Amino acid sequence: MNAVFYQYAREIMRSPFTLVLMLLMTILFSIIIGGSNEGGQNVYVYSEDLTEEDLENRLAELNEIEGLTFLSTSAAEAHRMLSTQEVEGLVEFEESSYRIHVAFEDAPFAYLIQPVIDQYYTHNELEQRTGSETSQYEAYTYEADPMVEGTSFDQSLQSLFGFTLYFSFFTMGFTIMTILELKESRVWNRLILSPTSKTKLYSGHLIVSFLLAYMQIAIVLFVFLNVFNYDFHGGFWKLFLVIIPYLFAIMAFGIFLSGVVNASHQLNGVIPLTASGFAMLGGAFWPLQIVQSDWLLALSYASPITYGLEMMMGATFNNWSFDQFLLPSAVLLFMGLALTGVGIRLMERKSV
Amino acid sequence: MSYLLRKEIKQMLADRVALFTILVTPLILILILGFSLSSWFGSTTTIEGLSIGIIQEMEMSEEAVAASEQLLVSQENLEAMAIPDSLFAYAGNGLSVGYVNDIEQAREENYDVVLSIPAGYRTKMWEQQILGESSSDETFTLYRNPDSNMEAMIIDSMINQSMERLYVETTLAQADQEPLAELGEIHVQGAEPLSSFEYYTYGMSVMYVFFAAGYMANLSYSEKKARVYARLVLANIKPLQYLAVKTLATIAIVSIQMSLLFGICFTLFQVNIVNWPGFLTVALSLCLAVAGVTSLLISIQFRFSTEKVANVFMMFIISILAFLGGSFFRVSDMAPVLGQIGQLTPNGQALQAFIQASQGESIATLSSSILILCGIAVGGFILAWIIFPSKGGVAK
Repeated sequence: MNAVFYQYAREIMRSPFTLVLMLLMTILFSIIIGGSNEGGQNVYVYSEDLTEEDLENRLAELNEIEGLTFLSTSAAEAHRMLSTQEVEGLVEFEESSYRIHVAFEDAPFAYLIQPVIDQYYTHNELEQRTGSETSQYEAYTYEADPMVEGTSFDQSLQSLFGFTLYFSFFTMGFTIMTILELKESRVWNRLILSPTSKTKLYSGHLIVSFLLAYMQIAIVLFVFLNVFNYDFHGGFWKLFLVIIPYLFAIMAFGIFLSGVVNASHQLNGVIPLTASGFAMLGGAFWPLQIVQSDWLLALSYASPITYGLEMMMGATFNNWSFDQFLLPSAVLLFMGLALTGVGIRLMERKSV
Repeated sequence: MSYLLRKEIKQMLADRVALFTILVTPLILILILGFSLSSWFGSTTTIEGLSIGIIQEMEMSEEAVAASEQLLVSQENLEAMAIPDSLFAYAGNGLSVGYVNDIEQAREENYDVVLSIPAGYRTKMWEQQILGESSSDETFTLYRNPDSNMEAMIIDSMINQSMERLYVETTLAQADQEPLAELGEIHVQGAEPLSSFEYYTYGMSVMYVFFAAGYMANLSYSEKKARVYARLVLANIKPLQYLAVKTLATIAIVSIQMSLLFGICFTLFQVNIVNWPGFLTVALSLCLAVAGVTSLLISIQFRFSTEKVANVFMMFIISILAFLGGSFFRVSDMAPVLGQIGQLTPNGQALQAFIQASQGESIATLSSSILILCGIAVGGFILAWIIFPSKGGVAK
């Protein structure tokens, strides 16, 4: 088994490109997505009459409202965004009136944004007419709260976890692919002839792929703890425990997929597909709460990422108790055991 | 040369996994994404069906009786201008309002929002409206139901807007000023909302055409490994001719792939394309761009005798491009920067142009995307032509 480890170590030192690329990508994507979610909904504003400075000043005032980020844009860009329906709507400012452009009728955008813009303009108008004397405005406000005490949902942590889990699928798949490549180049046959037993060969490869994926996640988590000062809600070390069942399960998926395909290069198409499918179903890209279709929610139970993500969130901001971890880890372990068995059988059945 | 082209297409059609990847998987993904994210796209809202539950410490009539003595206004008039109750009269019949005992009950009965009104709040608002000031500082609380987030937010902003108007009107009336005119208007661009299915039909198609490119490059290199290429060269086929055939075959396969994908999805989801000529031009230029990328990949692999290029391309580059270009979801919702980067990708440009064409934008609007795609194609062809080993290169 040591020989297998040695071989991997040499190979990684020889061409570290893929590994480094995967690490960089995980970090990059998590930063971009985790970092950008704090501003809330983006509202684009353009103006043909107002000077740039004036527009920026107004946007700065509007940006004090929580949950909305107002961004300025050009008229041409605004037209492009509307025509591709990249935004539901946007706002055009004039000196003392505004116009809301929506991409289609009854867009929620108009309902949500108009009150905010309208308030801004009427208050300005009111101030000009009555002077800024004592205002009774306070009396007309009210409080708004969610019905239940929400859990402290942390979007940036969720996307960090989602993307680390997603990319570890690639690392895992890519390393397991080397087994197939060895078989295709007939090196595997020679290895079998050597005193190393088949069990040792397989477990050597699998342990390496497991450790690589584990290392990848660990490095990303450490970077986010130390460099970006993320708050893990006191569950940082627990994360290293809860990802073990997940990694075991996706390792099994890697073996299974290698058993299903006919040639190693087919894995190039199959792994991204499976990984993206699972990530989408499991809520790595977006919170599962926004999914409305029932049967898709049912399908999400088949994705290992669902459980991995649940446990990672449970370890941090959801503050799970010990027995809450049992079910998801049991499911992952079961997936892992079943698929490893089937996968290795399939791989062994092939003559090459 | 036509027999070579026939060989390519036959070979591609014989590769089941490749066919599965470039035809069936996009269809599956379109269905998954279309269903799960349908609420993200073109969801429309009306007041119809929104519901508000009210918890009150004191009945309105009780409060009105007490206040009518104090303010010398009849009880009926007071009830007609009670806040927040009278606000819902604006909204008409679509809105349902019910009275509940506590939040638990409201949750069970699935109200979108609940207003909890303390005793004395209505009196305060009557004083505000009639006298212009009040000594009380009671305020009501609006609870949003997390299960119907969008509805709750809409009711919240509706109530907010009504309160706002009331404040402005009262203040102006007390200052003896003209009432305020409407300051804004809503302008509807006019097009139909884009459905999630339509979006993902384009999104997945522009992603999976590049898988065809990767497969083609893979296939070529395995031909080199299996000495097929060497034999072809021996049979007096010029190296660049070989490259040209591969490029043409890619164009053919991508066209077939796109016509099948679009054909199936448009029939299934009843998509209506307004600007067909524009749409087809975009599709054609995307075909060329993919062919350009394919020829470049093949050349790099042949020049440097490596198959890693196509592998890395399929494994990572396509996923990244697809992600940035918005094939999975609109990245600009997450970070505007990502959206701008996404516009630099060929698939992002094609996706945008497809949507614009289907919405009926003129060819002038589409021209920039078409030019970029054709530019990528030409750039790919030229680079490939320079890089491809025109002599030798037959060794394994």
